Amino acid sequence: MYIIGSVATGIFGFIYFALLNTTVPAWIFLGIVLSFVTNDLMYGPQAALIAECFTPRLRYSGASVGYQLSSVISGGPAPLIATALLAAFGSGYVIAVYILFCAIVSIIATALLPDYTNRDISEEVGR
Amino acid sequence: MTMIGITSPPLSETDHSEQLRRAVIASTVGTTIEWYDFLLYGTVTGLVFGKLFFPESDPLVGVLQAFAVYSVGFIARPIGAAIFGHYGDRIGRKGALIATLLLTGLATFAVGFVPTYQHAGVWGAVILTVIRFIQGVGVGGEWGGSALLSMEWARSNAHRGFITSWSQIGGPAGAMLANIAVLVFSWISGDHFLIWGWRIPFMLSIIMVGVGLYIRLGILETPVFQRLLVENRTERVPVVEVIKRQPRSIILTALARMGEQASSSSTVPRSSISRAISCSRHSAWRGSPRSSRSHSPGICRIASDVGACISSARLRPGYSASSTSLY
Repeated sequence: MYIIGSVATGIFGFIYFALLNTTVPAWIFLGIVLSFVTNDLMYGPQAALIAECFTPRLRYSGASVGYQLSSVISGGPAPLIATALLAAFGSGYVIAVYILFCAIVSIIATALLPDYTNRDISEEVGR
Repeated sequence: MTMIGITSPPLSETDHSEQLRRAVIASTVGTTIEWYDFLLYGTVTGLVFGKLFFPESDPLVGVLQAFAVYSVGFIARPIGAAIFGHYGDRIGRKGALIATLLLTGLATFAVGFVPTYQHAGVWGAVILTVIRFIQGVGVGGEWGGSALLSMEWARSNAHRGFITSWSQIGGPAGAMLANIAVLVFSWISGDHFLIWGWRIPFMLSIIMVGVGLYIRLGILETPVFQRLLVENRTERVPVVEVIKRQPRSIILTALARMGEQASSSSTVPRSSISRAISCSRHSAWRGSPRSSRSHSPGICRIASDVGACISSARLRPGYSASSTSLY
């Protein structure tokens, strides 16, 4: 599910900036609303995906640190990077490429995570 | 007596359902309140704080403002994650969640009383920056606990994903409430919005904290954590331990969020980009940067975002994309 969301998010970046480039308010509005949908395909399942990865006795620490660490490595710099890219290339599509890149990183990382769906989460988790 | 609320005898089916329901409510409502607090600050930053606390004439103030924006994402939230992660794994999910709620809520309430530049000079900005930092610590600790609270009460492994995703609705719901609060009080106070109107939504936070506290005090510790206590398996220094034992999981989960973060964080550019690329008239569609997060019941999310769009479009005057790391 999360990977589907990542794919949708990665691709949608291009549609989003195409819609923005029309400069028609209605298209821009549509683009922004739709961008929430693709973004939410990732945001919704995220809580379970992340929290399930950690063994119960370390879970609060692990999930919190993992989640907030992403603010440091990607969330924080993202607007700065996006703004810099826009300034350097003058095109929103460059930002879409950046979003695609990040989405690909997400897909790879998610694929590497063990999937605990339908498994008992109160048991110890190995490495 | 000492074990009350921490360890309890096995629950019947109905009791478990009741607890699950309460846990989901406590997750969702509590997280909504935290995001209300956090995003309210973000929304009001551009509308009010620039004028009343951070005048451009004072160079020191500019530094403070930048610090307030960046330190929250890069420092305060990870610190909050570590502190509350530690206590959440030591003394329990419930205690940690009550602490984060109080910390963020009281800090937000205090914003309503901070003296302006006109009255206290740069001190107003200093206090606001400190408060913002405290809010960041609280929010940083909130997410993990909220997700765990629902997840560890889920009855079957099959519907765990759905149950856990409820806590994620707190983001958009909090954003919507924050925007509505600002909108309503800007209508009520009219020309006096800058004088007193903006303070009311912050002061209202104390009522929400009361509600959240009531709900969170009424839940039991999760069955998973109870079992850890009974079997005496809690860790002495869980944060260090998890970094040692599951570094791969930490890094992968952080990276797994990258796509979502990149796309949602372009919300700041979302207002500035749309301003740059498209016509400036309608640039504030996405007024409060990062004002909304999402959740699986997508309709709620869309409704809240549309609400946020409309309210922030109305509040457009004086808006500036000032909050970068609000996730």
